[in-house]
Amino acid sequence: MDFTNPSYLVLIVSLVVGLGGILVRVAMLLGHSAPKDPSPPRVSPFKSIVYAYTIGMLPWKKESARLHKLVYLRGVLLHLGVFTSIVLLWLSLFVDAKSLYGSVAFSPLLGLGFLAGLAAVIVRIADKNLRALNRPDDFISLILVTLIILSAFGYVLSITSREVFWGAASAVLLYLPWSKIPHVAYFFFAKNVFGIYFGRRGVMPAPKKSI
Amino acid sequence: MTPETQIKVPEDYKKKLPRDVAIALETCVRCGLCTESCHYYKSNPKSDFIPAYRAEVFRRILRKKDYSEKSLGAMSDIAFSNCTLCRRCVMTCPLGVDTGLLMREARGLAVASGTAPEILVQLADTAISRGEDIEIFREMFLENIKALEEEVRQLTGDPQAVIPVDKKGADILFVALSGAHSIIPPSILFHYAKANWTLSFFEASNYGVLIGDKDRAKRIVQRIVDEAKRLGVKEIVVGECGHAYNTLRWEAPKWFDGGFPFRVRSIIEVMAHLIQEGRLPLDKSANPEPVIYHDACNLTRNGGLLEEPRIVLRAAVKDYREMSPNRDDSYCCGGGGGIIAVPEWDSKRMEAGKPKAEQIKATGAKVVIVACDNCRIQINDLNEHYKLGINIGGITETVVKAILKAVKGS
Amino acid sequence: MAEEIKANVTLNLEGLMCPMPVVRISKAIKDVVVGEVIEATATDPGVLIDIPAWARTTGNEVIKIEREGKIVHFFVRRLK
Ligand code: SF4
Ligand code: SF4
Repeated sequence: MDFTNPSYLVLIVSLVVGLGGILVRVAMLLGHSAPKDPSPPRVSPFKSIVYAYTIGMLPWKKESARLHKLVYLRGVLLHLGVFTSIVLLWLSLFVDAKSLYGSVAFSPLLGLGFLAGLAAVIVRIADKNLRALNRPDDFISLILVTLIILSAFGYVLSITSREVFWGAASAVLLYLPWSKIPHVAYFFFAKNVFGIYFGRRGVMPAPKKSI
Repeated sequence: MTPETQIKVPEDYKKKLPRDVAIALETCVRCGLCTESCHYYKSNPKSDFIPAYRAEVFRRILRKKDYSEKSLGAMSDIAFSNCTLCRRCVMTCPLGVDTGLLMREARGLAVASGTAPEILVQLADTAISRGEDIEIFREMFLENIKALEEEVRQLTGDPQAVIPVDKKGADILFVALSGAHSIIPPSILFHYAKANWTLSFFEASNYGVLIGDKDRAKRIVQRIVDEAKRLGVKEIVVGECGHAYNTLRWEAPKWFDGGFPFRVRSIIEVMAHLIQEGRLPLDKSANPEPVIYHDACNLTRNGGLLEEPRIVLRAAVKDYREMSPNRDDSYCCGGGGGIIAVPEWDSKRMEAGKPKAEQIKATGAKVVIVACDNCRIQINDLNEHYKLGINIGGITETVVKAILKAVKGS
Repeated sequence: MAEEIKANVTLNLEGLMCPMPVVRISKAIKDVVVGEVIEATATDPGVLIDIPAWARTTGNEVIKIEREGKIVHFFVRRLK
């Protein structure tokens, strides 16, 4: 921890803004009323929540993933790249990853994550349907996270400095409260609602087929 | 009013939305993975028909607080005519974003701002009016039921067969739709099942739900709940109506403190139960032709009746087949959500029903069993429009044919 | 007697299931002027209740409605 390093200080401030932003947005979500559901469930929704987070997410279980294998793979790689960058960022707060034995092992995930991010930007511009859906935030968020992965990649390979990595991370964190990135937190709420809705009704996981 | 006229929407409208709606509003990342799940897009692949596109129109209005007549009118048109609230897209979204729920909320906003289709609001108000002054309609209702009872007697050959109305101490309050096809077959079924039942004075359908207006929806349900309580029944059995079942079984209990003091089942569940207990005499030869079952979105994906109709049909018909995809993966027929009641959208719903028409055709079946009147009207129209050459029947009607054949040999 | 009421428009709603008879009447009433009468026949027995309830809601008048065997025969006057 180097409080004399300005990029370190910027990063800490950005962390507070970014994480605080997510917390505020989650709190706003929780501020909405959630009426109790007294309808007697057919099946315990617990099972379907677990299902929603596990088997239900497997690519062959969702029509969308079956139809868009590449998009699904790209999404998985991009998210793996982001999570690897987060782990690296956390480590880098305490030690310089360059001096960390084996940190280079992160590079394949980061490299693939970066390519996935780049491809996603291109597809967002090229695909007619995505063009109809895009908001400016979709580009800003995507480009920023792609840059953080790229800077992490450069960092573990000792091509760029820790300060560059921190700079990219700070940019993402500062923008985060106004972006779609909090979907990382909303995801859990949406999956719960989804699991409870279809679970109570006994739709998911599907009951044993009678024929 | 000009298109620029600003409609007054409460300042805290967004804040007051229920949490599940807020979650659906916030979570979408516009990945487009839900695109092909929608029957509208499948039949006409244009960007406007992507589920997330519709939801974005609603999100943009709330984000920008753009409550002009023009914007709300466009949103209303999308929510009512470009989405049947089938929720197939929800199943395919990697995050589980509930676009159907958002479209229902958008409908509610359209009603509140006066931009919803007038006829749908009128249908909801008609149902409410029927509940406000029962006495005005009672005589006509009873006269009507007497005539139907006569038909039941003829069909069963039993001069004692009845359609009980207003029977205190009945176990079942059966809530039908208004047509004879919705009352006569269940009456015959209950007759042979020796059920202690009574027919509701009210119809099951609820246009309040379809227009996303909880207040009207609750008032329509309230009539039935009051009747069930007054008669002291143990359960409500809902006839062949998808949204009515979904409403009474799953949605409405949330609007009444503590839920209902009785159970709610679909007539399909009742039949499946009776069949599994061996309590119905059935002769499959009454239904010899190849039969398929259309999974109405409100009964299957949103209702949970995946296997019950299959248990019933396998016992009542000779040659049961499946459409593909089916059950919770089934395509909407294109007639859900009240769109059938707006004649201006007839060509739109015929186009949106194309995937269902193709599914039906591919099976080579001669009969499609439809356990929802909304879908039944739509599939009837699809039959004509796409020249499918099929017959359309109800599930209770099919079972009753098999009962009558077993009991009377005809 | 049904013949005594003079209708300006006649509709055949036979074979239509609920809510289509109400939908058709609601559409047709917009095409006649205030005071004019629509005569219709339907086979959905629910019409016996739905049409009077609809008329109450929309402020129109059911002049006559009766069952003739399996057919429901009715007259509606536009009042608004
Ligand atoms: S609704 Fe789901 S699948 Fe569709 S764009 Fe949004 S996140 Fe993607
Ligand atoms: S709910 Fe059904 S009709 Fe509406 S957008 Fe989703 S798939 Fe399409």
